Amino acid sequence: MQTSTEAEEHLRVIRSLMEKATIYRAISAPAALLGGTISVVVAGVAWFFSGRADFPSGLPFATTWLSVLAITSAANLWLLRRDAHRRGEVFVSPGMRLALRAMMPALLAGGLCLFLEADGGAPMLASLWLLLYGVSLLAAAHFAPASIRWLGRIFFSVGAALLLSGAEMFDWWRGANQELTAHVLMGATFGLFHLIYAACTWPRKTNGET
Amino acid sequence: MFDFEKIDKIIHEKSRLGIMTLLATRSSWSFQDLKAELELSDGNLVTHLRTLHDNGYVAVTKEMLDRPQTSYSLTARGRTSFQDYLTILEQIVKAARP
Repeated sequence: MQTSTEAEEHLRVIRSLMEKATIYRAISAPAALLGGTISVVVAGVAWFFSGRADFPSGLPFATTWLSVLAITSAANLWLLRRDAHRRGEVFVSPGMRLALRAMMPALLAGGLCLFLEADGGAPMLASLWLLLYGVSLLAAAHFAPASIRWLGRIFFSVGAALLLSGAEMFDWWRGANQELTAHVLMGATFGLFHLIYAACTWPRKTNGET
Repeated sequence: MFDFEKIDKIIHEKSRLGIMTLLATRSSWSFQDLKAELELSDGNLVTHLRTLHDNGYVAVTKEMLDRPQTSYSLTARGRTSFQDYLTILEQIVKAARP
């Protein structure tokens, strides 16, 4: 070795490989089961009460789904903490820091969409959330297990397809009960996709995948 | 002036450095996973793993699961040598900084 440049290059290679080799599952299977179940139930409740004279305003879309997000996120963090404790690892591990750094920009962008006065109303907001949630999962792809990458691809594809469907879809949304449409959209995507994810990843937990 | 002779020549080769780095991150790696991660040919990977094994840095485990699977892990000597190698790299970088 003749120069420090070569030593720095080797240290960079080591760091990059170590980061790549850190597999971190940002969504635990039980949290996905809980979030998926709550989402489907909420969408079902919204459907059941839609148009009823004794419940004219329906479920407020943004407030309802932010509450679902808060409950599911809290459960996810608690489960990740429990798993880390069981493995004798720290809760805020390098893997978790990497995941947060990668996922946070897209998740924050999803939060900022609440301030968007977009044509298409609640369904448009739901579509943007689908797309950005997919982006956040894909941002963690290089250190996430394959199931997270697939979940990211599916959310991204569905969100993009809804947004690309363009004016015709937005016209239909404008004509329909927008809040109910958005609730059903969330139940059918966030709900069902997370239930499928939970079903697919649950058995793998026993094979050592974290 | 730093003594460059202290550098472990076995680890210093780039592919072997990659292997040692990955082995340091988990308890064991399968041959297929190492191959996929490092994008090396079968022949290349086998050669470098054999070098590391012959020098006592890497342990080999052969298991019969659904099909035969060979996995690799760092030996205590390999882990110590890798840590020493990292320390030396850091010293070189520090020494070069004003």
